[in-house]
Amino acid sequence: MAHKYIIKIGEIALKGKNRRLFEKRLKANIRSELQGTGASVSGGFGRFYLSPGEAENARVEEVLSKTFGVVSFAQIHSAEKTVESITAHALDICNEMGDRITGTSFKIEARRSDKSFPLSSYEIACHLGDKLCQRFSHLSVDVHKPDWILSVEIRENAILYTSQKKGPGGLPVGIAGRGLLLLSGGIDSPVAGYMMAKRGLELDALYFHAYPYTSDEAKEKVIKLAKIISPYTGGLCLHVIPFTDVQLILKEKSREEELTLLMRACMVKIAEKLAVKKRADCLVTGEALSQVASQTLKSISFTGSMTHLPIFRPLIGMDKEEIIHLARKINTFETSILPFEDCCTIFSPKHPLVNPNLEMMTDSYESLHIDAELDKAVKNNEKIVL
Amino acid sequence: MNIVYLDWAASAIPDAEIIEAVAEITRLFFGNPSSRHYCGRQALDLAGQDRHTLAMLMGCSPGHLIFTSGGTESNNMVLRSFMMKKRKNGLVCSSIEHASLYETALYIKRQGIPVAFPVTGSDGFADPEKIYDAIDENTGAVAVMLVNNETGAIQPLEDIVKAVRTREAEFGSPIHVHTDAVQAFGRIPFDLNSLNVDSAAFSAHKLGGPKGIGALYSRKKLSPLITGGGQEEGLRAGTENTAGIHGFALAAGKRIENMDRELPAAAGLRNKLIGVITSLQGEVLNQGGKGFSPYITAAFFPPVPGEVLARTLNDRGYAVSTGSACSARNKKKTRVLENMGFSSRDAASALRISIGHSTTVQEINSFGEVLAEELEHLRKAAGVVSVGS
Repeated sequence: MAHKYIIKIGEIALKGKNRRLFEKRLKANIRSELQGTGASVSGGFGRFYLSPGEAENARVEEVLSKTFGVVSFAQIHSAEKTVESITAHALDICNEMGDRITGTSFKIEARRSDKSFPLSSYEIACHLGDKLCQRFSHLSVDVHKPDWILSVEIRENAILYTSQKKGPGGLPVGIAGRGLLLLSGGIDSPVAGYMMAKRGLELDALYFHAYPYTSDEAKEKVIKLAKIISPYTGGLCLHVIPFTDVQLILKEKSREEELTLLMRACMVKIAEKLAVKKRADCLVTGEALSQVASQTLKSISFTGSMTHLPIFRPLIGMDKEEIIHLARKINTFETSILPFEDCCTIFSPKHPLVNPNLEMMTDSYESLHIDAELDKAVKNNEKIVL
Repeated sequence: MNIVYLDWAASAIPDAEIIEAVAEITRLFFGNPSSRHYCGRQALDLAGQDRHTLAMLMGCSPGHLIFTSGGTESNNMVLRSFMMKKRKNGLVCSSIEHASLYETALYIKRQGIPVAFPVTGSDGFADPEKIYDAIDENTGAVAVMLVNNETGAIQPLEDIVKAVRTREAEFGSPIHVHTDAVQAFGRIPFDLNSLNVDSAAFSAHKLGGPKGIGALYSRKKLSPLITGGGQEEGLRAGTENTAGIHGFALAAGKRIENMDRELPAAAGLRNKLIGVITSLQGEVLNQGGKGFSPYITAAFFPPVPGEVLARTLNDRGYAVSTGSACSARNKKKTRVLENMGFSSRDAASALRISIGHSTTVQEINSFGEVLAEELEHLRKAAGVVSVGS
């Protein structure tokens, strides 16, 4: 029979009266990812228990390692609530670990919530430590820097586990509302999506496709990126916006140095229109202050002024190296650096404005009378469910 | 959709009769040439005959020819063989080489071995004097391709070999000269004997033969890249691709047999193509065509990116490429042209149009019409108001 898992939840256990709501959401998110396997999640108050059903361990662990709200998890051994049974399981665990033990020093961490159990937490630790050392002569106790830890918890049942694995932490996706991620093929925006999902935001994503000026490979790359972050966001719906006609109008009607900013303005406007349709209450971008011309303070002020929705920019104060570090961590980096550009050089001015005047830019935007074209782009979006 | 194929330098349209012959050989000569029984001997004999045929067509001894998987492997084998030498392992490599040589040279450089990349002129030709200057007492090998795969420029190999031999005499020790002949053999008159190079790389699928088969000529002993069963005199292990070898020999034979007819026909088509390009205010590298293979034409329509133009032409049924097909999936797409001194914008506007023995005048004419239409759209998008006025 497959072992159950204990799932430790961190921050969400501290959220006062909202705790139940958060826990419910986290359970639902885990269940949803393991849908069709018969897996079930129970428990509360900082600890969930997962019965895997038909799900394989590798799948369960992949899901738990990518579900926000999970701080750590481990496979558990359930024992009868007697000293003898707990001792027998502890010895079994050591036997099972066999060669997999990464060191010879260990520590027992015991927690006794059920005060009717005859031994105190300290006594449980001493007892098990003694028994393990007797059976396995090469083992020794080190309570300060152990090579591995055997945890024992006496609650409604007795459970034992070792090898805790880290979850991603954060808050359960969906608890903070719904947002729309502006996803390009670059390094930053997938990381931004990951970071906002970590704070509990449920996400849809949109990508601006300008064929033939950008290639279908660029679109495939964005779909691939969306797929990579989708386990973190609890699934993702990618909207591909046909952007060529908008770009051509901008190129024809706008001053060259304003082109990039007006393009960004149109993107924000389109994102806002789509957000309203999808009931998303915020936009998310991968902008980092001063990284490129369109991300200077004044540029961001202008593009931000194009929407009433809040724009979350979780990377705003980060260095590129820090962003790359995170991109590597979530496995988007190698895809992001594939050589399929998301903007053609034709639409990239040599000297884009870096210090735009908000009023002048607003006038420039309004003189385009481009709203109907933006509506058309939203209407013709291609929806890809990942 | 009917495709007009103008990307022969990436891979030629295979000759139907050659592919049929390859299938037939696969069926009949299935034995492993290393086996001692009749079936094995039969396969071995056939590969031996094909080796003789190819050696004769290339102008070398059959004993100096080993079969490989293609140009990339052959180029790698030469360079990596020199990398393993303890002394005199320095390398001089022209800056316009195919990625299989250039990237390997960069890899060798990263191992701490001296590698020089002499600058090439904006006309696309390596300069023998610059190569002479780049050679020093540690240089063990010089690599210069014969026909550039992006521009079609036929490199002045004879003068380069002379410059190397002069340096060789000055330093009193041999310098190996390698040439990547993938775009030359079977297309332009070619004779290893008169080229006086020490090694050369070949590929079958550029000639209308099958993919996955090529050859390395080397008159000097090299180290194997692949070890195993001792095939190819211990220089390239792995069961011989008997059918592929046969297809290679047939394709090379056919190209060379027909060269008197195919080469002037290609030159005619190339001239027509240049006429089309210049009438559309495009630029070509091989204006006049002297010193260039007629099979490859590099055209430029700045500021229209070649990648976008190739995409729209593809949508209309015309297969062309930007730069080398082998580099089209990485960021160094414009390396060769930028190393020739092109600005990144101009390099990015390059379109490689490569023709083959079955390309027709009608195809070039219709290509010209479609090119004109697509350029009109793209130039308008790029903000080019009135071209040429």
